[in-house]
Amino acid sequence: MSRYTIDLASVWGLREMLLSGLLVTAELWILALALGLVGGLTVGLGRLSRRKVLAWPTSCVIEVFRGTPPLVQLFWFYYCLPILFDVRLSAVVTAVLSLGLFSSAYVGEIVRGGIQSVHKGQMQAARALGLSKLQALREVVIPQAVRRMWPPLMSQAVDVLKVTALASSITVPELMYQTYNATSRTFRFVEFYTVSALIYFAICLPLVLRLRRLEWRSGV
Amino acid sequence: MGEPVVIVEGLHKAYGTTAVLRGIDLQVAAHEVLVIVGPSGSGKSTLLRCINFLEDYDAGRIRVNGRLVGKREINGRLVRDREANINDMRAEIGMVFQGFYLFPHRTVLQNVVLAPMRVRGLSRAEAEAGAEALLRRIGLLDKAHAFPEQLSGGQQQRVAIVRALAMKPAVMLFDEVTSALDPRLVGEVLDLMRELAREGRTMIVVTHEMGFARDVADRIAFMEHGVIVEEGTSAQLLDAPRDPRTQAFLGQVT
Repeated sequence: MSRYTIDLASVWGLREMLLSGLLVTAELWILALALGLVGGLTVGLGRLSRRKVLAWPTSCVIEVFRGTPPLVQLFWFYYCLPILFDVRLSAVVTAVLSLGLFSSAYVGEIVRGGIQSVHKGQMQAARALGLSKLQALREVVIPQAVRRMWPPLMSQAVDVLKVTALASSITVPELMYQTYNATSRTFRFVEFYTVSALIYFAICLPLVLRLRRLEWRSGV
Repeated sequence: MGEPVVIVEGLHKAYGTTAVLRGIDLQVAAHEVLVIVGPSGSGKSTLLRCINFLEDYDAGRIRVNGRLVGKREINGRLVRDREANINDMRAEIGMVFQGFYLFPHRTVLQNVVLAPMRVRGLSRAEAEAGAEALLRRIGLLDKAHAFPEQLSGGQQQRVAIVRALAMKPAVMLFDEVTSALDPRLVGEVLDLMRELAREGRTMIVVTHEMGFARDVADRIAFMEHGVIVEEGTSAQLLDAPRDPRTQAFLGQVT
């Protein structure tokens, strides 16, 4: 390692810049997760449907978003939507939409996997007792599925947080973007990228630790 | 014997091109125990699953307490009944499965009270009182707040039986309920079923336990390839089977 003098004062001097970036990251993250949960539940249940009109398009959506790089998706939404459909969205809205759809695809598979992991006999036993399909889902199948969905959902939340950094490439002023700006002002790459990494890590850590415990408890 | 509780007429069922039930006729009177025996794949389980409409059927009629199961008649044609009616009908038909299928996220007590509360609309207090009486009877009241995984297989299956009984069904269907059990746990489940038979429950039991069939059955039916080959009292069917297919089957299992 070369001799390098660390200058944390430069980071402290631009702390408000980083903080504003962090807030935008948090906003992006929470909105993308919320959209991902709603969208994921929809496409996950859709893909499970026996009706082809529902199952087929939802499968396509899931596979397209899982099979392409999120950075390409982001650029596509940012540059192609206005050209093709004359839709003009702000960078932040584009990022929320794009990341939300990206996580919908993964959450959709988590939802599907969770529900399919519940033995068919559970539904049958519930129906045999006279419960309606909806009651059986609500009282018997979904509670069991949700328990199994927790660990992958948390790991998905961590992934989405990391992917929010891509939004910097379409000028969303989130943490990564602000970090980059700070380095171009100060040339303190080591300090800023290290601090930025530590901030991401600090947000993920509680989730990762909780995940460990869940996985350990469910014996995964 | 009065009006039969279960009447099956000309029941046909196929999966794709494979015919599983090829014209089943049977009746079960109130307080009667019908045991169905036969080789694997003969359609015994499918028959039970049609009786509570877990499986749709292609032709024929099933009536429980005089009501058509799963279908209604419009201008002489049978169409699928409304879901609400199907659910009502199922509540009258108790079913116990080979795999128990207790709900693992609910305690024993919660397993038993779920349907009485949600389907029958009982209050929690009423449902729990009923459930506790049933659990006391099978000696598992002390497990009321345990989760299914904390119980032995035999205990789980007895809870599954009680869960079905809590709905006060008109008929109980048992689908090879001891087949998944450790041999030393089979006895406690069969004992409970014997007791239910003695108190006059109407039961249809699919089983491979020939000793149990002999003790408990008012009638035994032998099924093969989707038809009832022969039926009669246990003495007739087990000791003096007339049909060569029945003779061959009994020769293998006894």
